[in-house]
Amino acid sequence: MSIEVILFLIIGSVSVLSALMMLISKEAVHSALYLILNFACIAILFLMLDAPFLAMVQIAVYAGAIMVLFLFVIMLLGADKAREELRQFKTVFAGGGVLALGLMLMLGAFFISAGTDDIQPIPENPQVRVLNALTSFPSADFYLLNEAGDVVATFEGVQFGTPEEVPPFVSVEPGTYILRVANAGEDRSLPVTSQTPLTLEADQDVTIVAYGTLGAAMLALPEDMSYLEGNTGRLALVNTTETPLALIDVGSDFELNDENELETAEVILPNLAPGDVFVAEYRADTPYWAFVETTPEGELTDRIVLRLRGFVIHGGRSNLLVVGTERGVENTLYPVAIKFVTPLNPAAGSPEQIGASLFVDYVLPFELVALLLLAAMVGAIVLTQRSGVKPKPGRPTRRKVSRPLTSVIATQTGQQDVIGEPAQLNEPAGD
Amino acid sequence: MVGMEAYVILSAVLFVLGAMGVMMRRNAILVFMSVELMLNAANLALVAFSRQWSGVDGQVFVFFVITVAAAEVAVGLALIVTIFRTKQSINIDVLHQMEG
Repeated sequence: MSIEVILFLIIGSVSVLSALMMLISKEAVHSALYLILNFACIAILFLMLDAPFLAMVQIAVYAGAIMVLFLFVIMLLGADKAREELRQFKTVFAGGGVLALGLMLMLGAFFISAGTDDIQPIPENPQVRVLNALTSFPSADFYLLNEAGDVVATFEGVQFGTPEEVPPFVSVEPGTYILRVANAGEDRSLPVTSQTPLTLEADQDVTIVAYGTLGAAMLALPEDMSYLEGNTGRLALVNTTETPLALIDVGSDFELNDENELETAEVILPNLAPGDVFVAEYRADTPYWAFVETTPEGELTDRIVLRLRGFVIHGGRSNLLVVGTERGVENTLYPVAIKFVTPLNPAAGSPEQIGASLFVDYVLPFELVALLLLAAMVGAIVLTQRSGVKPKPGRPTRRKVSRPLTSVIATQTGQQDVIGEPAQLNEPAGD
Repeated sequence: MVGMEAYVILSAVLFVLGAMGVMMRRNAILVFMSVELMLNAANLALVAFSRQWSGVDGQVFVFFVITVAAAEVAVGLALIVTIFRTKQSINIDVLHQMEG
């Protein structure tokens, strides 16, 4: 028996026992205390069911607010008044027994007939985004076409290189697609097309890396966006240059000359062929890494192609690093690092995940529940008012102006004809 | 790992205990507490199903149930206090004017 099973047995039996004790306690206060114990047990069960947020809410709202309210009312009405004898009707026990038996039979029939092994999560549509590592297109429009040739998704104005804002995933139906590229804002009748069709399956998060110096090549990179424990991030390296590369750790001394560097360097990845992908999980770090050219046989040469300066592996994120090719002055091509950092999906049952669902999918029910709470609050106040709600007795009559303003002014200034020359009145009327 | 069945059966047991409490107790406050127990049993089943389907909707519903339970308790206890004030009792056997 694993620890989880033992814990479940203990917590489950405590919760059932406390419910029973609540049922048969003569004192209402004791019942309330047993119910608090029961709620605490259920909070622990929520924790075991990957619902930490609900466990917290259970403690705060149920064991905190609701049970305090119960205890308060019990005390308010007098604990002796709440003392009572149990009903001794045999029919109640018989009814309860029949109810329990019926429920158990129903559950048993359900578990035997349907089983729970074939309950699978509903597959979600694949999600796609595009990263522009095309040397010949500083800004490109991408069109995702299905087999019938219809455009199902467009990604407009995707800039080359490291984007300031990571473009969101776009949801599409599972199937086979073709990606087309055009210069941003240009006619898309003459686009470059991906050579191989892309197959997108359900539940996939795919980043398409478009690369190539003259034409366009595509690389569909399925990314694992699921939650990672601790301060760990997912790292994916993609080599889109035309030479095989090796990844080495050069340590913190950047000032050493190349020979020494290469002698002391630790090889992390001996060979990353063009178009290859390397995926790993790394702790959050700021490594001093460099890419070294290798021969096609996999031998390290002493030519450092690219140093990763200021490269950070972020924890809890998907870190995508693409070695692309940039066109410099006089058409020289040199490798460049393209970084693409995306937050991973939040943990199951976390406040983040529940909040996202609550404020995206369930906004209307959320607002309605807020209204209900407001109505309940008003209702509770109205119900407990000793003599119902009556309007406060106000002033019986409105105050009337007995004399017109002009005659008031006339008595104060001693002049009769102030009408027509209000600008001459320096002092305000009244007192 | 404890399967969903175990949680659902535990929730059924708790639900039946709550239902028996509603039938057995004469104190209105205790009847209310039993209703809370039944709501909690339903919550437990919802969270268990939510994990089995690896979705978050079940947990959102539990959140709503907890909120509605809070509203229900506020109004219900206010009612009990008012009834106690007029009848000097919260025994539900005494309060049977509605009987046909």
